[in-house]
Amino acid sequence: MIPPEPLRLPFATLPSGNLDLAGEFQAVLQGWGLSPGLAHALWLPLPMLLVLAAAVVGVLASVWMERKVSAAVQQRIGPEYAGPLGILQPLADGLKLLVKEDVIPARADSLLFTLGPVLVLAPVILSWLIVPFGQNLLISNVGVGIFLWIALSSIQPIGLLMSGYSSNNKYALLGGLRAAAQSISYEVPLALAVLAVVMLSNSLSTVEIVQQQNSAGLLSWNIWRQPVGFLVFWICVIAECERAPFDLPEAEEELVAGYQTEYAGMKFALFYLGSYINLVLSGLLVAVLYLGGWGFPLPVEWLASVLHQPLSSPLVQVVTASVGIVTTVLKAFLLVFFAILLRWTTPRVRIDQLLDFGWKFLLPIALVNLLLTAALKLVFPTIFGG
Amino acid sequence: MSLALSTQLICFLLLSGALLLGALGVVLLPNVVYSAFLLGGVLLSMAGLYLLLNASFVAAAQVLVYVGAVNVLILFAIMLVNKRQPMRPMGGLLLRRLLSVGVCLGLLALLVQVALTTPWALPGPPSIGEAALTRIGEHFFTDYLLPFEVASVLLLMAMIGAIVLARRDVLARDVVTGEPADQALLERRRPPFLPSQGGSSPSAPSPQ
Amino acid sequence: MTITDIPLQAYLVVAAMLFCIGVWGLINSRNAVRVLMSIELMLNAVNLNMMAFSSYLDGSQVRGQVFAVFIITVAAAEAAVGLAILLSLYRNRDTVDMEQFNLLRW
Repeated sequence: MIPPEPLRLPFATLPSGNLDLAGEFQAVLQGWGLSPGLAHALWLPLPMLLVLAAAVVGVLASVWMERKVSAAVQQRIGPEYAGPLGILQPLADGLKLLVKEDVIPARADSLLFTLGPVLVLAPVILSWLIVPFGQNLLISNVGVGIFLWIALSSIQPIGLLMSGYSSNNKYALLGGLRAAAQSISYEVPLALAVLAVVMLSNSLSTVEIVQQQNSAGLLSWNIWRQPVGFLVFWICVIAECERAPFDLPEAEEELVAGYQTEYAGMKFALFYLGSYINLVLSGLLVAVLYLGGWGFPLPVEWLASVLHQPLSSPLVQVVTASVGIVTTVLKAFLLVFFAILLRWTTPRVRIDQLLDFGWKFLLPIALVNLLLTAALKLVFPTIFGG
Repeated sequence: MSLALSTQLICFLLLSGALLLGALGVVLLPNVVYSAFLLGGVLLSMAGLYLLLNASFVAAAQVLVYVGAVNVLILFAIMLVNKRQPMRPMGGLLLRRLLSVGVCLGLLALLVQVALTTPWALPGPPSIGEAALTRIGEHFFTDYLLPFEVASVLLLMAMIGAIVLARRDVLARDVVTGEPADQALLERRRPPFLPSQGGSSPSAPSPQ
Repeated sequence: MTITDIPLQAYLVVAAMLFCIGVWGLINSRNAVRVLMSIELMLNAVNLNMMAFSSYLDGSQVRGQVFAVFIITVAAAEAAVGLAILLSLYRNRDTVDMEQFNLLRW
């Protein structure tokens, strides 16, 4: 459901002499004799498809990384026959899930059973709308920016409850209830941590959050001003992704596989895809909120002088854009790597420990962090973005 | 008709159709779990209508609070109290329903009449679009400061009240004998306050 | 782009219909959870009115949006307390049938 009104022109939101892909593309199409309206309509789905493809590639990469890193942690070799270094293994996994029989258990509610995984996956994919890879390289620079992601991620528990309930299996129901409880518990400190960042940058827009961090290179990253907020956000994000040590909903010893117990084939693949897309998205958002997003230590002017080109030339623009994309993705995958290491080295917490930790520890800490940020912002307005 | 206008109209029609059909489903479907999931759909289409009305912040707040919190809470409650028992038959139920349909249709006619005949001061001042977010913040901390603070106190009261009401009594000592209470029995169900008719043990919810 | 292409009355009529559905559900539901859901529908209908007025008649001050946020807050509090009451009712009476909550009836 993409309403036309708040959506500004994709890829052409900020006028600062940057790449105007939308304009160029439409100009080319109009050069072929198409009407402007048609050219615009043809452009609209392209960025979304591109980002969807990027998300899927990101999933493949992180699944491969997960397999290799877990193998290294356990002193195994990991996948090695499918392609060089087993790089095609995730593809083979996906193919296997695609052609597997799609089983709907007897006496399960087939409508809700099908709808559940979709409701889990859709908000995660929609959240990619607000991830910026560069000054103009995001699908939609909506005003509510990061708040949109928080709102969308709160839809997920409904899908989890739905699939847990409709499976007609007590483990699935318990897993679904646990997953929903965990998800809404950790959303509160998560939102408070984001709020502190928003306070620093005076804007909800992800683009402005990144720009505000790029005034003095590495030193102006939010992680130095929000170390506690960063930790709270990171823990909450891991919990929202339901990864160890917080993978309670899938605790094998207690719940078989939680809400996924009865799923097979394509529907299971949707859950699988959703969890890894969510992981990559979380890495990207941590990079955007705390690690300076696409910010590159070297300024653009230096790049232009090396290439002996004016700042506005297409070559410089393209190089800057790709440097930005590569920087963002590198930061994100570094975080994904840490998340994977965390998963394979930490034991699982208990459900009461999990909820206690969320409500009695993270929530007060996040609140204090928010108040402290507000106070510091009043006292040192230059450093804390007054 | 331009592309933007027609998409707007189509969006409005689709969203309000989904809204009204979903609302009918919420009140009419026999299975209350379906009702709760449909309520989520209704709340989401409402957020879509807010987007059409240029209010992206309130739309996001609607999704966050209503879909993410209220609807999940309702679903939790249903899963906790979902007992498959046929309601006791009552006399005159059909007559009641028909009468209330009449009353509601009358109310609808009245409301629609008011909406259509009132001379609204259209067109109003131009919309400020995305700047609404800042304007809402200004309102909260200037002319609506008192309601804002009262709302925060209300939320605190609701939170404490809900915890007090919903939690089971955990007593360290038995009230009658004064001995330490058996902690293993804390999770048992309290006997019903009054013997209810035909109620047995709560069964696990099942989709059928 | 303006939003005046869809008349204000369209939103008002939709809100009125939603409100009436909510009223009907409130009167006729025997399941206590469904009663709470009907109340949510009514609150949402009012909210839709607020939002429509806010963007058609008060586009520069958006006071309707402020009220809508307040209503959302109150609705969240109402749902939390309502469901807690429902839970303790269920523990005491072992049913969610509204017709059996008749202790105070004479």
